[in-house]
Amino acid sequence: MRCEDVEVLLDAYADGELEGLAATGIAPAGAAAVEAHLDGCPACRAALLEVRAFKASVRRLPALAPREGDLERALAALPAVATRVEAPPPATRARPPRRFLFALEVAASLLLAFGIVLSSLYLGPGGVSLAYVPGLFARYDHERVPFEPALEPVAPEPALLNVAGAGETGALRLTREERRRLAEQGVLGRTPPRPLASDTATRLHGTTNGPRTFADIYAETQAAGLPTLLTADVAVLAFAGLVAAVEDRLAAERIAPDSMRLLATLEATLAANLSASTDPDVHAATYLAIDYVAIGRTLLGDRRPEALSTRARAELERVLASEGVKRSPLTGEREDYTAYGLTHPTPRGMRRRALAWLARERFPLDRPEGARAALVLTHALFSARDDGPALERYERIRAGIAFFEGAPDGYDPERLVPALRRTVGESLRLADLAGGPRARALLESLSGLPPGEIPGPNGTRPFFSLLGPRYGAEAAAIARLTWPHVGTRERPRTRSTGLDVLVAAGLPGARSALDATPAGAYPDYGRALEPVAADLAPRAALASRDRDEDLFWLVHAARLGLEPERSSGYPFFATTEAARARRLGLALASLDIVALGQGRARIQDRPASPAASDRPGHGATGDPPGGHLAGAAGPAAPPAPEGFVEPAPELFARLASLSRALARALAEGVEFPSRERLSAELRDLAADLDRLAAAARASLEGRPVPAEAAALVRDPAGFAARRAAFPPSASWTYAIVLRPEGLATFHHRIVRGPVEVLAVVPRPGAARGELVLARGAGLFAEEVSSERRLSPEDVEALPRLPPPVWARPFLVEVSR
Amino acid sequence: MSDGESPELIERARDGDRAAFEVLVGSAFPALVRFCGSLAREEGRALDLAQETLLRALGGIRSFRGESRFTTWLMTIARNVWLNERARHWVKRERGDETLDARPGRGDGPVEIAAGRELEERLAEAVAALPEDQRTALLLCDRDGLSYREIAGVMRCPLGTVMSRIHYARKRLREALKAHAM
Repeated sequence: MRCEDVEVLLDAYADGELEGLAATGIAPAGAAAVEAHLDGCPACRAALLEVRAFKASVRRLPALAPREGDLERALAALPAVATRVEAPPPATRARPPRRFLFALEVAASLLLAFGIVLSSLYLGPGGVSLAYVPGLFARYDHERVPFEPALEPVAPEPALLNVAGAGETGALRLTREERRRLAEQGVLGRTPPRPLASDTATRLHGTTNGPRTFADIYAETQAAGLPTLLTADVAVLAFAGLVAAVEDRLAAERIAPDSMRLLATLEATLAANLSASTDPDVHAATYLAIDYVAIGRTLLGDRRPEALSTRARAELERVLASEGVKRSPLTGEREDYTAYGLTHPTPRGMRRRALAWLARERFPLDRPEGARAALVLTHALFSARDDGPALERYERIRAGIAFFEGAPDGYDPERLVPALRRTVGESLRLADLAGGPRARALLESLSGLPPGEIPGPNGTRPFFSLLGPRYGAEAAAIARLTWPHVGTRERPRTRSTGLDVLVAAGLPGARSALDATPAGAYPDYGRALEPVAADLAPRAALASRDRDEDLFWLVHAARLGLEPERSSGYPFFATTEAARARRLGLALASLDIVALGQGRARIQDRPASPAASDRPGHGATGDPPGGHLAGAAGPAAPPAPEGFVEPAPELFARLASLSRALARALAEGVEFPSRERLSAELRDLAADLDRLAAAARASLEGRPVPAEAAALVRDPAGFAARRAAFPPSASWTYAIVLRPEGLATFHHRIVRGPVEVLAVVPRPGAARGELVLARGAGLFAEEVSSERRLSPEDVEALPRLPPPVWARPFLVEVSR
Repeated sequence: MSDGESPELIERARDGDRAAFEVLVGSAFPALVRFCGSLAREEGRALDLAQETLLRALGGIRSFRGESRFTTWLMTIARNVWLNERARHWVKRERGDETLDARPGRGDGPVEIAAGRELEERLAEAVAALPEDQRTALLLCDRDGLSYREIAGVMRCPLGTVMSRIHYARKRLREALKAHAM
């Protein structure tokens, strides 16, 4: 067969469907023919690996999942009696479904829809920002509450997102009195929101206040006048909540008291075992267990290990029992458990495979669950003394511990090299022992694994499984050290277990490369390894020939490490810093926008004159360009209110930089070098934010800004000029909509209801993406792609304004 | 036959036992919503679609003979509903959807430029940009784990078509991602 013939069959082959298709004559050839071709064709093997990688990646894509109550609502909405008997329905003429009609109606009511929208700030008539007031918005439910706005995640980091709900948990630091007052005004819910189910963790919470219509909210906020929350600056409070949440998490990452106690108990038990027996096997196994405890302690870090480890254990049992297709207790997804057990006839092999699977599939170390996985493994292995030759495993664990101890601080390259040196030194030490029985046993175990151990789709490579993506850089570095060993004639079947790699790291090529590397010079280290890695391509082919998926990826990783700018032909290795920074930027941007909106709200807060507030009917079309917004065509700008508080740009810069650091911390499991420094900065910033909030309150009450907050407040003298740039109206509803096209995937909110775009403010220095000032009825969640965007002509037709001066720092932050 | 889809349950549901029907729906609901989400791609609309699907399923339960899984039967209905609705009302919008990712300039907002885009997102976008039939076949196969035969049932198309749709879907994805990576 030619490659072109195989190519069209590879997908069906990877899907396990080719045999069936060939048997019925649909496919021209069966699996045997494809395999025969694969044996001689590295390119097609690589293609197959890629197809498999795609399958896995597609499977992990986020998908819509019903929320709590959706099912019940759906069932409740069904008629009590089935009214139609025909099955899959006729194409047309069915009764127009109410819900569809509604959706259409709403869609039709959108005079202008905004394709990609970042912000969702709704400023009520009194200037009350509803968007970030905790507890105000119930989830959009168009069955009962047609115009209830929705809150959707602003960015996918739950810890960053949940700030809106933080008020309910006290994280917003409202006083009891404030809370009571706000609750009376209906701004805060009286009851805390339901806790998030773990599978909805990426959704924003703090949204359930019962079925309140938008009109209710509107009326209540109007009746309430201007709640103090307005001037307390929701953005500041929200960020304070974020700070508190992160601090919390920082604290929790390291110390999980219950688990620690559990491990301490385990250790004590194990120690008792040691003294109770003289059997060397028992001793070896016990040491093994102790080592696992040590790993567990090293990695531990979650506040709720119980629930998760229970579920993990349940899942582990399913894996062990090879139960067939069941729903995973951990993820809720359907899982074919037979895949993990059947190829291993012995219970021992099954167990090992199951553990490897668990570690790899469910608990990669770059997630907090990784720590809990260590716990689960500890439990599992502790009770599995008969599992394998103890000595081998002991050594493997030792090497693993050496690795973890060597690289405890994750990504700090400064520390990576010494860590690697230590790790490599450990493996060298092992290699040096090659004459001794221990090392011989070790090497034998590496070169002579029984066929049953050959890795399948889910692998049996505990250490690389444990390393996971988090230590990808390190793994790649070690892999580079390893290549001279991989695929040698002596051991064509590379196992790529962690120990394998570590031992291999002692081989000549790698060692000389390492020796040539100045201490602490990671880039040099990479360069020194270039000769070692020069023949990666043939080795990739080798990996491909052996159908060794892990090896394939390691080669890829190593290539990426060496030529990051050129070699990302296959993209999944590069989950970049930039992407994390971007999330941060988005979370930050949303906060910024709230802050921006708050500034605006403050302005609206003080109407210039009755005349100014009596102009609700003006829309975009008939207005002279810039009419409302520039204030030029409107009434004269009112005198600046004294003591107006606008955060200083430096504060935004600090928020931005700290947010980035925090996001990094969150994304990387909070193991990054400057934990203490970060904590200190967080505390400082939190204090400054408190001061700012106090200043805001003071200004509202007509008191002067406290001296210690002066530096945090932006040029009060220039306020009048800034204010003049904005419309002196107290009666309009505004949405400030930032629409840089690229923010689509995270930001799903646009304005719902009758909306008029009042003006478009070009973004400084950006060809695309404007600040849009609009007025409308409320906010809702909408997929970006589903509504019309402003066309260039639309935008052209809108009044254009110079960018507001005081918005610039904000915009700069967003675009950074 | 998966959890909660015992023949007895199906039989009872066919006999008009509402509780049995609800049990069946309960076990199929997440998959249905997921599927509807991949069709409608907006939560409100997806839930509408799921709702409408259930309405029709309730009406047509007698015609369900257990030849396929209940879940895939629901998916079949959902897709029919979707195609009909789209034909009636949403043609333009859906076209808009499908050309979304081809629009020039998408992704080069300032934050994008600064921070790059996450690759999984790109994959998600590439999947979203697939033609509906390819996308549906791919997601049913890779995400919902349906066999080609089941997919053919849901999509009312020959088995060979499923094979080619999946093949071309992955091919497109690969090209899209590689184009991004350049």
